[in-house]
Amino acid sequence: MMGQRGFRWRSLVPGMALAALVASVAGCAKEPADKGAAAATSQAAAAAPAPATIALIRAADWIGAEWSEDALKVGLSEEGMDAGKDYEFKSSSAQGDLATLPNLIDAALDAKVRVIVTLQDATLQVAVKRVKDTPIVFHILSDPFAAGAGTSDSVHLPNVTGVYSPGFGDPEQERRIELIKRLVPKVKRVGVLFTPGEQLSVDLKDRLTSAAKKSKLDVVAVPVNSPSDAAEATTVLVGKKVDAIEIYGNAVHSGFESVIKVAKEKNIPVFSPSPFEIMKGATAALYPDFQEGGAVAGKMIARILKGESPAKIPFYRLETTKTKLASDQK
Amino acid sequence: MNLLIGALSVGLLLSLLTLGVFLTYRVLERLDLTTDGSFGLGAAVSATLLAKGVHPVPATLAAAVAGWLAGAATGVVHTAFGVDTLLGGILVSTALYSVQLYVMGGGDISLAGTDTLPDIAERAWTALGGPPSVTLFGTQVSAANIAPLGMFVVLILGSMVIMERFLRTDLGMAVRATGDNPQMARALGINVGLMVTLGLVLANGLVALCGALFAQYQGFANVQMGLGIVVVGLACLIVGESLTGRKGPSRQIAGVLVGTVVFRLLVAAALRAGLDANALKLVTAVFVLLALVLPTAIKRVVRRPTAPSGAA
Repeated sequence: MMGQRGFRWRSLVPGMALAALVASVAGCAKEPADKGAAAATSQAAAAAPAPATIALIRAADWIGAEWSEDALKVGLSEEGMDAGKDYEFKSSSAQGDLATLPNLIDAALDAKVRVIVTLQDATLQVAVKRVKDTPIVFHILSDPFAAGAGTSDSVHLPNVTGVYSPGFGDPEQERRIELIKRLVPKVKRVGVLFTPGEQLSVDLKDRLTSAAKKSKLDVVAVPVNSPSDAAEATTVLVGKKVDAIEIYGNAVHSGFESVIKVAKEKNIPVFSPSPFEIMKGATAALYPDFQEGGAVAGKMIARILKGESPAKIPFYRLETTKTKLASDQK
Repeated sequence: MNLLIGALSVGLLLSLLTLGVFLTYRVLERLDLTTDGSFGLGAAVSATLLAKGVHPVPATLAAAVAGWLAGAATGVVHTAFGVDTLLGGILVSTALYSVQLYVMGGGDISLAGTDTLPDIAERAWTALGGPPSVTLFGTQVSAANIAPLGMFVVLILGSMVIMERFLRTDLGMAVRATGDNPQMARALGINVGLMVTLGLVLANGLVALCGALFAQYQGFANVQMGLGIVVVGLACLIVGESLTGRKGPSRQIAGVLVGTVVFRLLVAAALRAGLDANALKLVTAVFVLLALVLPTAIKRVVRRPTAPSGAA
């Protein structure tokens, strides 16, 4: 029978013993191996310096992850840096688990990486809080200012720089409406699927609504809170007799197959801000040119590896958009 | 070392969540899915107040109060309308998603540039003469990483001791009796409905407090933060129970702490293993499974009865 009075600190012992064991694995186990490896390769290292490690950290998995990695390599290559010789990427993803995100940043710090590349807004928000000295280059995000990385493109934290696409600004929404009108000449009503839990998705929906009104088009917006809501929400839009559907937000993109299934039954074209959804049946995609952004970010990384301070590299505002049509794929 | 300290910090922090899950799942013997909603609600309330310039302490306490209200809502749905607590929790949690959107005025709030409890801990560290960074085992660890860990140690151990003491009071005994045997509790004159509601209120207050601290630690609140978090709490609880056993509140509460810390350290170990990014969750699951199975397997090996000598 356990004692009935007082907190039994002894009860912590077995668990803490395991915790200490795990801690030793998590915190220290790799150091001796690294040291061993370092000793073994010290002679070779004297001849040729080891490639700089660049940590690529994502908050969630994204279909374009490899694509963005390749774009970074293009930028690095243009600055004369070769993968494997001058640098190596170490990719990690929190896979949507926000509790793991700080651990990924910490692991990169422990690995003494030369540059941390944060992909997506949440990653930069956590990195800004935790990384004080190691250079950070952000990419594939909308708003570095909300994350506290700076107050303008040139006034920012000394260890942070990168490329952002500014929330698909108003001219882009007008271009989006023009694209819809070009491909669906008889359009009168546009349906929008958006995710209320994502601020960017809500902003884009509002901006598209304003742009549509300028072109005298009606807009019907239906929220999608989770991928499982996508089919129902699309059915609602179909019931409201929309002529085209535009989609914003991760929940909608995750449920894209349901959207396209319902829309295709009624021959309603779906427009997307993701070029990857063309392959899944979208009619057209208008999207920020992340390849250009990746190349610019890659050049920034190269400049930092060559010794330049991120403090002297202004943020790059990515304004170029690209259009991809399903008809081009055939 | 940064990874180890970060994993310990997150582990300590999330043990408040596990403590809430323990209160409902083990003490009340009910699975309360309000947890998902109250975690996000705590994050949303504290982040909104912090962004409006409220001091971190009242902002964090307000988050706990919001969690109490969420728990009370599930309790009322159960006691007044006779809806099962499982369904009641699902309903309240679903409703809380919209509440969070209204509270935050959108899907997320950044806490960049706002004063948070970890910032206060960092200032206290500096005021006490702590250096801006410390070198541990050859790795530089910043005060921003160490100071919150110290704060969480004090806060979480304090909460654990208070909960353990509470469960030994007359009121705590009544809550436990309600979970163990509601018929018997009712026969003893205990108001079962009230005790269930009290348990839900306390549990969701702890979970919301955890959400508030987590948002401040991360630097932002997001409406999707709490989705599925109850599963993490349950996993940590069960890992802890396999290590410390379930004999009495002391061991159980110790299990809550140990289980959560070990769980997060296992995640850190999986990260440290440096495997392919896609394998992270698979490796974490395997590590947790090993943590569950190994203690029992070792006990079996150690206690294997030997054949009596001279047996014919």
